[in-house]
Amino acid sequence: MAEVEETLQRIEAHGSVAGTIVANADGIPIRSTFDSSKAGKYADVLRHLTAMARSTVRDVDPQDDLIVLRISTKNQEIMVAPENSYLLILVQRFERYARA
Amino acid sequence: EEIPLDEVLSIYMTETDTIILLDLPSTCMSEEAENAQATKESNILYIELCNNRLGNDKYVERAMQTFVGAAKHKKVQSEKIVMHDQGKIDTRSAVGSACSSWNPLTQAPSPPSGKYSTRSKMKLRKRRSSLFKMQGGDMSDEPELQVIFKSETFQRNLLIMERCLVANIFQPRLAAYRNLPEIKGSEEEEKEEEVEEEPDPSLELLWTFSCELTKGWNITCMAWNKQNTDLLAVGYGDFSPGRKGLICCWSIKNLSWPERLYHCHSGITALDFSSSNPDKLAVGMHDGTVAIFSVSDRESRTFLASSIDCRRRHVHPVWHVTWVRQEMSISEEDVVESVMSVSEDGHVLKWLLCSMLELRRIQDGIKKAEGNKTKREGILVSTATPGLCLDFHPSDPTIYLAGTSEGVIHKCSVSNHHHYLALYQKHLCPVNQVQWSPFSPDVFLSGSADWTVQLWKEGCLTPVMGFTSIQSPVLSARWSPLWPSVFAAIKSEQLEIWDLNASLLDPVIVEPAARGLNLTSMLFARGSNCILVGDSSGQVNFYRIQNLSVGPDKTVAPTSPLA
Repeated sequence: MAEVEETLQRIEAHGSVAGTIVANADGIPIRSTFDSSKAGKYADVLRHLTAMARSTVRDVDPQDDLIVLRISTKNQEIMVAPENSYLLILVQRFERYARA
Repeated sequence: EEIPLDEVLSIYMTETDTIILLDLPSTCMSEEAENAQATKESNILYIELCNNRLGNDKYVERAMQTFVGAAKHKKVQSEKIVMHDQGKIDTRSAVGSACSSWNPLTQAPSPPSGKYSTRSKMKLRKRRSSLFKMQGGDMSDEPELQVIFKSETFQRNLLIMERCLVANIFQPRLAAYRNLPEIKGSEEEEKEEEVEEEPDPSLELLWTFSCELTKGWNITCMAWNKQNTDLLAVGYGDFSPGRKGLICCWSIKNLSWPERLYHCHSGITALDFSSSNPDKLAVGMHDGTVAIFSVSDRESRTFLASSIDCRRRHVHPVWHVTWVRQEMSISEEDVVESVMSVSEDGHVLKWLLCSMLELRRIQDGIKKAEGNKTKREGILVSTATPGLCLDFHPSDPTIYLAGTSEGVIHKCSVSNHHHYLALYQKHLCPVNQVQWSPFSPDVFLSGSADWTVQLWKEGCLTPVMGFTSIQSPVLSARWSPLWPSVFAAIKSEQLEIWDLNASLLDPVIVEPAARGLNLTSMLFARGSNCILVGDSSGQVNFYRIQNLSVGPDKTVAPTSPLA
């Protein structure tokens, strides 16, 4: 339990992470580092998209399942982990392919 | 309430009476009906009546008018009736998963388990959590969060997320490691590549494994996992007695945090992964303990079994542990793996992991009888020479080499406990590492504190070649798994890569250590032209070897699988 909390904090502490959202099955964010309106928007919009992505994967091959959905946009990358009872969203913003 | 689904139920179907909703009888009648005559007569009477109507006083035509009332307008307003459109798309997969989760006889397929085990009660727990939500309408969010956090899939998803995150940041380096093309960003313009002629061989730093927990620890040994080539175990420890030790299992997929962390009561001096049970890690410690960890279990924080309770265990630092396959009989199933350890008290011991999870010593190894016989008050005491390193022959698992602190290398056999097969003497100082060549079955390398690395051939008791560079003890010397003529040696100030095809006098690449740090251990990467260097501040640096004159077409597959 504490380990999960620690892992989540470690992810959030990464320089390039814009924020994380944990939302329940109805698309209401329970824990988020964004402000609530933005988090609600992300959760709501991504809920349907991940359901559709998941059904696409399973329609093609019923034994398969969606693990992670990554949307790479111009400014950021949104990663969503779909489950039946919750939704885990991670938004990463960074200078693309920067070299240290 | 529970409906037992196995019971046979009987269903009866019957027909009801006919329900008549509308009955419109016909106006026509058949001529053969009973009332036909009476109807005919009444028809005739009616026709006569109609004919008599004209000009008859009994029938008069008259018109009427009704009143039309004044119209009044009245307005009524009501609330708009809000309409919602609700639709649902059901796909084949959703129906399939609903059916499969309903049926108690077949479990829902569990998610693919890699190294981590997931409990099959996960589905049940999730259903319970969603029911919990339905019952309490105004539940606060905290318990819900806890429930989500506790689920196994959440942890797995977090793990995947973290790896995706790190992979995004380090994409060019990881691609270089795996020899894949990098994805160029769209903003970078195409640079004109200038043709370079024969650039110098060099090392390029790809990344470093380090985190706050490992800062300041001295790295003593590293080992790759035999099955999962991305998993690396690193042992940290100090050589002063009483200091604790640390083992971290790092994965290439997550460069910022180790996958596993184990704290030990004593500094770690040797590590090795097993090849038949790839999750077992054998550890040798500074106080002489040999322990076995199981890395597949996320929850365990300590070893599976150790030699602490064994009577005749090592009491001196264990400098090397190796897993060895021992064939007990002809059939393949009886191949049993045991751990061989060499320690400073001069014993080579063989350990077997019993089913009772204790490490039992089953055979006495060789006591290096070539020790000094000192006279102490008239009693002859023969001390065994401390052994520092061990290496088993790649194709013959009964022959091994042991290097000692006197500079002598013993070639011994597992079946012969008291005598060595051959003695290789050249070094004047402790031999820190011996390794058989993975390409030639009778060639081996030895690195010693007398500043030299010697190349030996099995039949010949003097070395074939010796290599010196700067005047500093060689801490480790290993063959490259890709190129037969390349080996690397590490001294506390620098890393050297020698290529026997290019030069016998000087190393081809020399990489000095960062200021204030001592390099302490080294390992070649498998499947990639990278080399790992551990230093005294807890960092494992990954270097990529570039521009070595041996190109990829000159690599040769090793004659035997690398231990």
